[in-house]
Amino acid sequence: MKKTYLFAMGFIALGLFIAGRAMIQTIVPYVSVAQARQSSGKVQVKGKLVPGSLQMDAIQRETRFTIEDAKGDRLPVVHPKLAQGNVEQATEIVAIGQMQGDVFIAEKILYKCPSKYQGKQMQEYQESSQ
Amino acid sequence: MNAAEWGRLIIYLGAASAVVATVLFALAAKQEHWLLWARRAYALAVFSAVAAFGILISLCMRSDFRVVYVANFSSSDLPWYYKLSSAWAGQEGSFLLWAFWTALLGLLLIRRLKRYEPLTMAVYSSILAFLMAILTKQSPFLLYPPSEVPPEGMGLNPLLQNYWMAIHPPTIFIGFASLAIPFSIAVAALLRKDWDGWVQIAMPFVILCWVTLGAGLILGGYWAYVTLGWGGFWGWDPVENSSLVPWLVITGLMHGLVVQRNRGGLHRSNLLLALLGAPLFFYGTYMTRSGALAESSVHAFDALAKGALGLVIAMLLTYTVGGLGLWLFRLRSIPAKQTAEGVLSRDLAFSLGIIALVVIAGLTLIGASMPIISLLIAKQSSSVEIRYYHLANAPFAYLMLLLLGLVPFLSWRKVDNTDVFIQRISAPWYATLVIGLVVAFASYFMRLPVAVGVFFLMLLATFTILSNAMLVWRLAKRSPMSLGGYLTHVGVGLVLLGAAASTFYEQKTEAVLTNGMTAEMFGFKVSYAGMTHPDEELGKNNAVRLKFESLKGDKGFEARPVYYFDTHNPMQPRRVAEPHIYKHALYDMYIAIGSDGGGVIERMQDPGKTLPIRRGETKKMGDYTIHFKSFQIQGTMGGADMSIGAVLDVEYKGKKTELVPVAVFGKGWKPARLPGGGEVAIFADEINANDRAVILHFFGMPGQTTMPDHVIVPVEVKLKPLINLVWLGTILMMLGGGIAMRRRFAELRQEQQEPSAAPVVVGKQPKARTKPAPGMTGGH
Repeated sequence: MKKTYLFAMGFIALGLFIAGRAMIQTIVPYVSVAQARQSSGKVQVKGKLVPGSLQMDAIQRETRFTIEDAKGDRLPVVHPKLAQGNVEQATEIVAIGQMQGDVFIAEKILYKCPSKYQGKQMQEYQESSQ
Repeated sequence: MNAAEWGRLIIYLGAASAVVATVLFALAAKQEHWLLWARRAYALAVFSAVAAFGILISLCMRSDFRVVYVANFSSSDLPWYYKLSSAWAGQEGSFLLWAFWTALLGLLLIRRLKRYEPLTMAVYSSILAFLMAILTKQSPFLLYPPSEVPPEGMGLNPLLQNYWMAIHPPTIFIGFASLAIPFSIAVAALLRKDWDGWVQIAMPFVILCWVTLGAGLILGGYWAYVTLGWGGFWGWDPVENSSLVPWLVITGLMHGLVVQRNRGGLHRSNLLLALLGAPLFFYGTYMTRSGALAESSVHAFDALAKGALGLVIAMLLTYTVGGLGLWLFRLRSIPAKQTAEGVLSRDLAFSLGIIALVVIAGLTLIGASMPIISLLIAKQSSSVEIRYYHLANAPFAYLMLLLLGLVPFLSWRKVDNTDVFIQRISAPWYATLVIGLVVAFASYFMRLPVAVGVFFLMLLATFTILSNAMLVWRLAKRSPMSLGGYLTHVGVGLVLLGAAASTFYEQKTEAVLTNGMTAEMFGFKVSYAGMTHPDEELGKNNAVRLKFESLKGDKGFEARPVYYFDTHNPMQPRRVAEPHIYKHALYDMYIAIGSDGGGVIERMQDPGKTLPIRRGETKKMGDYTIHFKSFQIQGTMGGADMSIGAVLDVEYKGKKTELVPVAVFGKGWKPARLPGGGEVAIFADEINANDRAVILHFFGMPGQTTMPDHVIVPVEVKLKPLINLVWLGTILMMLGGGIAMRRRFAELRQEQQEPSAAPVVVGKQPKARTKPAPGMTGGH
């Protein structure tokens, strides 16, 4: 029986090791625009949608826009698909992806729209991902 | 006083009477004469919760917009069933629903508790008291000042206008409410130092909790799949995770109780698991409703009012610290009995399975809490990708599936004859290996690590399905009441097989359709056939008509993905899209406008066709042959009035014409009419003087478009193989759970009727249970 328990413990330890590695591989930090420009891996940037910057290209199937973070830094973002929902009304966008040159390629975007359905201060996130 | 004011008052009454019930039940544990008054106080609390919920429903049904909650979540033009649903669409309403079920389940519980009643009900009433107190701080019965009463409500979010909204929340909240039952019974057991007696009472309620919470999760997943257009049924969203984690813990507890009933072991871990369920859900409630995860959740939950949030935190701390503290305090006096005698035994398989479930719950909880944990540790918020949940949970899911497949062949204590065991498992194993080879071949085209992982998952799931199905088949005739567990395991295998196949073997194609243009997708010719209600472009219930004609000569169909604008607020029309699902026995075709069901149909200017051409070149465009002869420059070079024309010889159907489209600097352009219809134009910023090249733009050429407005419909079709196995599996799981629940309630009733046999359950097992005959071991 002792051996069995050792084996079980070993399996659990191995499993937890794999889980730990999975955590390290998949963790994505929230950063500012300035930090995003310095980053090399996957990050998430939160900011306001710069008014008038949103372009939805149905032919290229791309969504392009610029976000401005709390410090006022701006970042052009390309989301390689047509975003769903009402991005044009988004007050806040979280873009998840990485820098490619000067442009942030967002594989996934979350955006918050003012929702008339849930009172004044209530807001709602929607998601679009590749 | 109007109904809403009565409602507010009744909430206070409910909170007060639940507090009184808590105190009186606690007193009744010492002096029995308090019990009658404690029950009366509890009855008053139940009355309050039911009455308050009834008032809220009637306010919603009557569209009483003097009430802030009703005005926020309902409107007078909604049909009655959505008005009803709006009663739990908001924060306050969903807490009231929670309190409502908690109160009612207490009535079911109290009849079965017997000697456990005072202590259990004291704890249980205190949870109800917390919920009612939260409702006093976050009341659904707030009124507008008379001068500010809106004439019309804001309506129900169109995504929630769905019959699932009438089914899913009421179901899952029965599950959330029933989490309090094992918690309360376990606390009573710890206080009474009764390490076995609580199991028989808790058992049927734990299964009730498992079934309702599980059904709620499944309904939520199905809802997301068919209407919300997430493209899948599970998204590892914080809100989903906060219900999944307690459900996994309850699953572990359910199995632990089986071991304790049959073998008299696992006393410590069962009490611990029973104490964890409810606090884990309180934690989930805090996480999803405090705004702490606002950035990473797509579920719409606003932060609670401060006072209410404080109470949620107080509730979380009280029951976590209280429960765990009591458990630790009593730990040394709880018996720890080793029951397994061999490696091949049910005892060990159950223990390992429970560990696997709890570890999966823990890893999922850590993943979901990452934004909070990372903020505390690294001062920088981070979240994990969905991949984390697959990678981290995989080894434990494999272990669980392997055990599920082995259990039908194992007996309690130990397997006596290893040879017989090997012989028994061989049939499903061979079948599994054949299926495994097919899957391995299919995996060849995938990236290796994913392929290997998915391969193992599907292999083990198949093994689980086959070995449990064999036992279900045998038990069906002999003792149908005892097959619940195995039937559920067949379901679990089917769900995981279907989930792996439909997620990792999904195929996707996209196309942009306009009028007259078709695309080929999965053996179908797809074309856009207009809207279902073309006259009311923004109108409700509008859907896109997409014609699917089979290229193989099979029957075609018309897909109608919903697509309309909700114009409840005319200043801000809101796009609403739902996918169309084409069902086939072996796969689903998930047809959505845009990606993930929410793209845009653009009405835009004809983008035209373009043709770059150099001076002297001859090129073909459609039916036209075009020779670019020369530039024609007018006005002063670089002046404001300068214009450049491109002199073209155009041949169309054997006839030659000279055309000169002109670009006027700073002003615009003059297109030239093409023979046969349409126009050709050049633009100033696209003239390359060095290369002597221009770009010709053709608009409205014959055959190019026939529509006056050029609708562009991005269509995405996903082929999800074997997804029906998921739905079949969930049905079997619930069916199995239902059978097990009936059996355990019947047992409890029977045992309570023969008090002499009741107290000691542990030693009461027939000898047959230790024999390795699967049919006979099925009773557990």
